[in-house]
Amino acid sequence: MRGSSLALLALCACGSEILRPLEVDVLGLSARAEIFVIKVVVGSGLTCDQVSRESVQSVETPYVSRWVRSEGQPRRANLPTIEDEAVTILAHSEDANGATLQFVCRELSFEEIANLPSGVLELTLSRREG
Amino acid sequence: MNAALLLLTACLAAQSEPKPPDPDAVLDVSKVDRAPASRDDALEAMRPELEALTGQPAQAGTDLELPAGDSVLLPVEVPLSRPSSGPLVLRIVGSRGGRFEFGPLLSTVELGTTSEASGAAAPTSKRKRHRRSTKATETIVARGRYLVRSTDMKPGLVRESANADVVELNSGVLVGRTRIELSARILEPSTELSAIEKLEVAARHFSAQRLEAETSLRKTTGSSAPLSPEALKPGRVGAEALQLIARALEHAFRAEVALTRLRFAAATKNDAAVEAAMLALGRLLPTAEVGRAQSQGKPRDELNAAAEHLRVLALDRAEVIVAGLRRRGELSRAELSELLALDGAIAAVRGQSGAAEKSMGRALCLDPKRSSPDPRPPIRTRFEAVKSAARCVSALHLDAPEAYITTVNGQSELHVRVGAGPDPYGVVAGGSIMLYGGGGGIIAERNVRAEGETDRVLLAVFPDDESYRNIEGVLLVQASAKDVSGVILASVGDPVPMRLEVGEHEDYSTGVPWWVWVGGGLLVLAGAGVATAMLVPREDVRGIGPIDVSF
Repeated sequence: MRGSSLALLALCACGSEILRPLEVDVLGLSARAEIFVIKVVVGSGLTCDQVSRESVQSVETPYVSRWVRSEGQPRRANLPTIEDEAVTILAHSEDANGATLQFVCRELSFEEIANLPSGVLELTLSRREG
Repeated sequence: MNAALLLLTACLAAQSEPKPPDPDAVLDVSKVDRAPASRDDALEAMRPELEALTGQPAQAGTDLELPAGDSVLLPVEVPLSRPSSGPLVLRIVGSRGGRFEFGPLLSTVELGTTSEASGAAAPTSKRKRHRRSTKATETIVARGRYLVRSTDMKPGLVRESANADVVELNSGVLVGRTRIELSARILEPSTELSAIEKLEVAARHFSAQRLEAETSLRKTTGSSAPLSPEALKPGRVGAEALQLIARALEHAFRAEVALTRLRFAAATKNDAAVEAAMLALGRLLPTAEVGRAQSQGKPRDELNAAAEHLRVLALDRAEVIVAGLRRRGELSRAELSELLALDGAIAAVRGQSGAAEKSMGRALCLDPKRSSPDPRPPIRTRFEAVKSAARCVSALHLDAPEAYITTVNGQSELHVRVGAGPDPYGVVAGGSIMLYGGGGGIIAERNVRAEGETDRVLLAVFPDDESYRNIEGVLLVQASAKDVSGVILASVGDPVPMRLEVGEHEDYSTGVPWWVWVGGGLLVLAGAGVATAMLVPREDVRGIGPIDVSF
């Protein structure tokens, strides 16, 4: 009985879960790109200053989706819900030899999603550093 | 003389042999359907079959029969006006009529002779060469082959003519010409599923071969100019480049034959063939880069244009228009429903069943009575499947708004909540909730993002400020739900704002009143535990997702 009461206490203390779905539109994928990778790093531990075009491939996260042009799959990716109020989104493209062609990074918070002008986060891949 | 001719023929045959592939050739890998080596081998083994599908060798004659869109490879013999010391090529020019297209096949020719009685003068008798006897003449002829394809679906007998020219490869000088009179009976297009499957392979194969030839050509000439039949004039470029141009154009012609045959199969009344051909075309036809697609014309005109492009399977053009209109956000709800149905139709042809279901489902949630944007499978079958699933029996609408005061982190807030549904396909992206003052003006407004899954919720948070209420203590509220581009999907309190009583300390953020949870808990656990738990401050757990990415 005591255990049950503690469980209820914990349950009620949790409150409700508010999720904000996110649509991301990545623009400017190169026609030379053979591979496109999008990664989401949970929390605010990683900032975009810490990632470059050279190092993006080495960032590890369980939230990753990889698209290969020659496999002919639709140009879409789905990532699951993340229980955190901040994420860092990394997207990059690679040529057929696995060299990074383009890169984009964006830090995003739960609050910012509600303020996106069109409801869609638009990211543009760039060949520039960082 | 005969020995000289044999020597010349052997010389030409040696020159006409295809060159081995250059191992250093740089291919634009993004445009080539790259395949494992074993598949390349399989394709190589299939080459005769693929070539036959896009140009079956046949004898010229009046009883020629040709399925609509199909192509044949026909022999031709051209008398020469004079002997030529250099390599010769055959090309077909000057065709009229439009129901046949002659391939830009710049084939090499073999030389030979024909003997005729001196009294029976042929149209080319001026070019005869006399031997010792005056009773018979021997004419030097060039023998080659040309490709021709039917370009429309109308069955019946078609006659057309063109000139077959024999030209010196190096100088471009015309050394022989004859008139081709082509007569063929056009048949119904083939609807065999196995042929449709191979036509897709052929289209992909010849497109890749064309790119390979173009890449070799660029490497040879150093030019990046687009390939065109205009470049196919002997004497204008070097012999090696000319061979590459001819090869690239022939591959392009054969790829076009395969695509045309698929298009014609998609226009038959055989549902299985139509579906197979449409899906093959969806995989083959170019995809538009719609990242920054813009739409300029009137929405109605643009929608009509997109529907027409879909009808003729110009998928990339339809995609650009649909993407541009989707970004503009200037559509009515009915127009958006039509646009989403078209978007789903394109996705269905592309074989993207998930995206097709999503867009078609969204279209039907806005207008449950909408019919399929196209009668052909797989569009119609996919649309009917989504419609029969009946996830949106009624059209999407907004529920009556609710308002309540709640406390977050010790601070009192006014929450205004509006449910939007049914929305199982997530067409509602967000919306706006406005509070009106007693004088009729907007005193507070929030643009919010929709939350929740099947039934979406718009939740606006305002400071708990008495000034938002009118003299009777009620809120005057107007709310609208919008799609991702800002099109208003449904609204309440428009044009006259709704009067809304404010509840106290209700928290509907999960969509379920608190007492349901608490009541359920009471049945299981002791009341004392519940009471203790209720005293603990509640904090919302926030999360991001699911995350849908397009690129």
